[in-house]
Amino acid sequence: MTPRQELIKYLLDFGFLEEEVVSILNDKTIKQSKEETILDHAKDINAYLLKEHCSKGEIIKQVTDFPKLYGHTQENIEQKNKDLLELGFSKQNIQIIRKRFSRIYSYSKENIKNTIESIQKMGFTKNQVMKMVILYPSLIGYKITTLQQKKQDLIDFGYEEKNAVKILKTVPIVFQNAKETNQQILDNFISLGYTKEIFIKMTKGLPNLYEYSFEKNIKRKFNDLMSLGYTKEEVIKMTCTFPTIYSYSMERIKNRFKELMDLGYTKEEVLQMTASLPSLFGYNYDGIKEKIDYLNEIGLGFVVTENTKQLMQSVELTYARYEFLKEVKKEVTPKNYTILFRREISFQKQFNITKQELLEKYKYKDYLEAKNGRTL
Amino acid sequence: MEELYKVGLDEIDIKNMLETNPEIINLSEEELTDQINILKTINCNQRIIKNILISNPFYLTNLKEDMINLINILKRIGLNNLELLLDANPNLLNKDVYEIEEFINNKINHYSLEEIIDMIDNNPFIIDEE
Repeated sequence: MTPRQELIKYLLDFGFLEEEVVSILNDKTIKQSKEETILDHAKDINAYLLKEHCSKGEIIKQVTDFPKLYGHTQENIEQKNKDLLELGFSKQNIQIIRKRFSRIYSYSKENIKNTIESIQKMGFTKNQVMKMVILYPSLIGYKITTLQQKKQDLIDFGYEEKNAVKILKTVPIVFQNAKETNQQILDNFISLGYTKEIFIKMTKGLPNLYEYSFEKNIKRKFNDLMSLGYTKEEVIKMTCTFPTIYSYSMERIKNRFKELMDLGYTKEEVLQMTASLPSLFGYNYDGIKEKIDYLNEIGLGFVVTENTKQLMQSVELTYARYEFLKEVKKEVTPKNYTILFRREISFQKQFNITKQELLEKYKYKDYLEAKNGRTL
Repeated sequence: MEELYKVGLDEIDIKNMLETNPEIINLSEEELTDQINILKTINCNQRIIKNILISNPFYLTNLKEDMINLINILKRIGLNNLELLLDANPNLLNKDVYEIEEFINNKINHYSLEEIIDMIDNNPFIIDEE
């Protein structure tokens, strides 16, 4: 068997597909080296990466993305990993970086350090840059002038500099967007009825909107929400104040819808409740149920459908205020119930007691324990 | 993921969280513990922690230093019972310090700081609504 045949056999046995092997062998650096040397490197590097908890599949992907990996000796790769550790990345971070961008091994320590420092100068802290590199390691391969231009593109698009920094640190993949791509994303939202102003506001709240697929996520969710019964205007309003909805799966949204209906509310009521307080889709179910149960218990169950926003208030505070008012002989009725949800300044002024004092004096936890004790 | 189970999250919760923020899978147990501990320092009990993580899975991958800076400014401006505020709007934890400062600066000519704090306290979504 010739050295080339031996190398091919080894790669195929390891799990590479024929076309991947061809692509590796056609790499310029690989071609320039002797096949025996590449075979030795491949064996050493594969053994090393397996020891570093890389799966065979991950190794195959990394080498296919960057065949030059086999142009390095194992010592060389180990040294590069040490360099990354010295730059502040953890072992786990390095694994992620390697998985996402095996080309990282083609950059010198000095090179990576300089890029990190240059990005910092664009308005990020060192830790923010480190996180950005982990999320999107290809950043290391960009020219700093390109990165600066991408930030400027966002500013020209309509963001203030600090907003652009927030978007880029949260979703560094936006660095790869051409001006036209950002414009296309905006146009997609406009096609659904959003305005540029709303889009900017939403992306400031949830920069990840830039990385979501329009067809598979945004548009589908928008239509699915309308199929649930919301009007177009309601969907826009809900997602504007609570863009996080787009980060939840439709299954999760539908489940929550059903959970609320299972509590005895009609579809129309659930639509109205969630349109008024879209964060109901995010809250932990037990917490919502606890608030609803307590309001029902004190005869204010109607608040859930008629003034849903009050569900924002913690059950701890509602309980403490209710108990306090009971103690000072101030009856809470359906007519004056808003007293329970008053602003702190106003409540404090009228009753001369602070929220802190109320929470310390009337502990919801004690009430729950007593209640559960009764149930048991 | 052990740390997540410890705060009472179940498999469905974690699946939902990973769908929203797949980066959670890359966090070490130590990183998860650190993020959860930040919430404990502001008196979040297990129920509130669970709610914050379910509602806002991005919190877990937010930078520790950014979270500490954010919490410090919220405390410094006089917001008490942060745990209740964050329970009502867990997404506040995705705000940058400048966004809180900006909200206050835009209001300070018309309201006292105490009134502005009261507005946030009464409606934790007010920063997103304006």
